[in-house]
Amino acid sequence: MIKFDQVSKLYPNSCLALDNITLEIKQGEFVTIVGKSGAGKTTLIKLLIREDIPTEGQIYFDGQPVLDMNRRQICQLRQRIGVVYQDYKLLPQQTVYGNVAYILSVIGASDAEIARDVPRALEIVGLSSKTDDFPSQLSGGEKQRLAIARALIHQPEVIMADEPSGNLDPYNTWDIIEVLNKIHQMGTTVVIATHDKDVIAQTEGRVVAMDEGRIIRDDYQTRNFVF
Amino acid sequence: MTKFISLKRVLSFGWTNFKRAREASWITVLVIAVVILLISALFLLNGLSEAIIDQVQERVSIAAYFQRGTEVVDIEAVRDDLEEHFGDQVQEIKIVSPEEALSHFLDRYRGDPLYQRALEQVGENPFLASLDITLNQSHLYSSVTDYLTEHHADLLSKVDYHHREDVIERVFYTTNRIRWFGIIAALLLTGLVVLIAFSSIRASIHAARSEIETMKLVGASSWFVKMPFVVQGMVSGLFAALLVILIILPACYFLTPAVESLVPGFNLWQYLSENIIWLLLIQILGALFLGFISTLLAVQRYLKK
Repeated sequence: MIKFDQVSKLYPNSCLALDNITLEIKQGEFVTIVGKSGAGKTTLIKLLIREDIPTEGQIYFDGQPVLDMNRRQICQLRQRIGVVYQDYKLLPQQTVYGNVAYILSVIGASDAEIARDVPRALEIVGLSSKTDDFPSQLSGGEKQRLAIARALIHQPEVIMADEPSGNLDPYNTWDIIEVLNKIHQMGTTVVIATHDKDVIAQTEGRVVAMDEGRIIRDDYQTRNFVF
Repeated sequence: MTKFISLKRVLSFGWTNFKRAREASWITVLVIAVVILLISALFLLNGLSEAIIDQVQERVSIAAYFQRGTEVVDIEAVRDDLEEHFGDQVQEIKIVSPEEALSHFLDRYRGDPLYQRALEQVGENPFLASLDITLNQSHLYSSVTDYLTEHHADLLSKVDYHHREDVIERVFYTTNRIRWFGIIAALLLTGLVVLIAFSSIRASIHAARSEIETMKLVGASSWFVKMPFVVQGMVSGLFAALLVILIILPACYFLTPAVESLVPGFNLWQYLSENIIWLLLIQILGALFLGFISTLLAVQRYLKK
């Protein structure tokens, strides 16, 4: 489903964020990409959704080369991948309901579909009582849950979560990982990028360890993964 | 997505954004209102200056004097010929009979016994019938004079153009300069305030740049990202136009007597009533266009990134 083929990314300040990465993620997988800050995890996500472009190599999504996509195809690609950003990237002028409904508006869902699906998604992430609140009125955990609701509302083929635990307390972190596990059980490909050992401990499936822009380990693990 | 649903959502997002970003929206409204107010004021000032210029130019005319005993029918034929030949360039041609000329003279020198005695000595009305000719362009006075001497020399005694030539040229030169200066000053001033409005709206869009970035990252098309902002800008424009109309109408109503005392013959309220459709069109379309184009350009800048 996703393939990074000999991808390198060199930033203008000569920082090599990715060094000849080759990585394939199959449909329905739960992949945890682990590594310290600056290992290149966020860059991988940015390159996949064409927020940035690699210095070398090619990225494929569902067999299509991402670098060769035109504007319309990039929009469609982004609609097929739900991303939970480290800094949430919520729409400050929209309410909790509006933030989730916006995604359905973007993909052209009908008003009836929006009215049916948004409350459901908010219920899954436990934000039903906050529908009319604005992002500025939410706590860190609530923002994170809202970001997840937004990422899953249109049932994308892939959900990518960049540091989903963020600055959350262990209870909230466990909560969020549980939500992502549930989404995976429904058949969605889930990719988590994290440096948090507690997160890794709670996930099952494939773990890809990165360091200084390179993959140093790619394995199936359940507990006590060391990086 | 059907175009109708998409348009409905864009309009709805635009209106919601306008309401939620209250402070930024009202700053935009005020900035556009200042521009539209200035353009409206220039529109009204243009009417005022045209009235003044017309009044000055109306005082400039030449007189074609007919030989004594020329029939009124012949004088009317000359007037009709001029009106036909010079068409729209003729502002007014007035027939002045010898009696009217005498009456004007008597009115003018009523208190001066010297002129009264001179008239008594002449014994009869010494004035000739004439055509008082007012034209729209100064250079036409010479053409009219030439035309009259070529085609109606048999009826005419004289045309008093040459000794007025200097004054006519000077009046037209000055009024035309004032007119051009007004147009250039208005354009420069309008350009300046439009630029200020552009910068101000750009600053408010700059504040929403992370929102624009997020919209793009979740897969919204450029059209779906920018149009709500454009609608928001146009709503601001509409409110600005409304605000200006609410200022201009009472202001003109209450200023009319003061303006009329400064420029007799110019009724500001009447001018406004006669041109209200144009003024409203300028205000509403100008405000909508300013809101539309400035937000479009500002958002476009962030969409390219």
